[in-house]
Amino acid sequence: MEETITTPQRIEEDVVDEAPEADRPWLVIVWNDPINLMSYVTWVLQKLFGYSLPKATRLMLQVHNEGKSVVSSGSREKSELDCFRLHAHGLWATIAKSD
Amino acid sequence: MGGFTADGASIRCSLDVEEAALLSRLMAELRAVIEQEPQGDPVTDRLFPAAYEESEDQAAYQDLVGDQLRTEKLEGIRAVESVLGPGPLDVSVPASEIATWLPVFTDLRLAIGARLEVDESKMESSIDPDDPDAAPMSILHWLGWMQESLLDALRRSEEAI
Repeated sequence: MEETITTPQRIEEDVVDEAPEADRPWLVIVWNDPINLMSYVTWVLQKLFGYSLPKATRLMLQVHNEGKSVVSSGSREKSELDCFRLHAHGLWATIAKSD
Repeated sequence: MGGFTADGASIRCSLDVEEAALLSRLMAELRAVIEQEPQGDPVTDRLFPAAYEESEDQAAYQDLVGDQLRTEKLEGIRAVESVLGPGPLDVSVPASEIATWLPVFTDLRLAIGARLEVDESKMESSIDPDDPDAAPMSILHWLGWMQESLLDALRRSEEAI
């Protein structure tokens, strides 16, 4: 991702939203790309998934530094909808079955 | 040229003659590639990425969302085009419409980046004037700067509410 300067923002508590692994069999993965702005990726993750700024920033940095990040999980139908919305926003997203 | 700024519930930007003409041309080019979706083209592959590795799953995904994806991208282009025209131009857009604009700037940049096969090192290095891609690279960086100012203006507008 292209480096951008972000100003500090207020810290919000992440909502704990964990379900047993068996209930979330499909993973939506966002991959790093050289074009998308870091601030834009963070904005997309907040907008589409309602994540707090700290959580969206953490996921964005994981994409940037490690090359990819799981941004959502759930049923196949939900994952396809999430992936579609990410594609509509120009993020490079794929769907994979959880091991 | 000052990029986008927040002005109450509106986002404003002044475009000079060249900037207005450039944006109009880029929008037309992006619309053409999205409408035609040339197969095997790196721009198509990047704007309509595969969701699945497995070709059968991917074909089903494509059937499910392909048309909608194209429709949404074209709607975004139309929204931006609706305020463009010959410059100099003072653009004013309700902040509530900026969520439609931001993905258009992304698609423009993705299309140029895919066409030029831009990687991270090319993106981070300064532009070599002897590079045959110097002109489109400077457009790519200008669009990034414009998109950053759009995000910043949106954030300021939301904070002011």
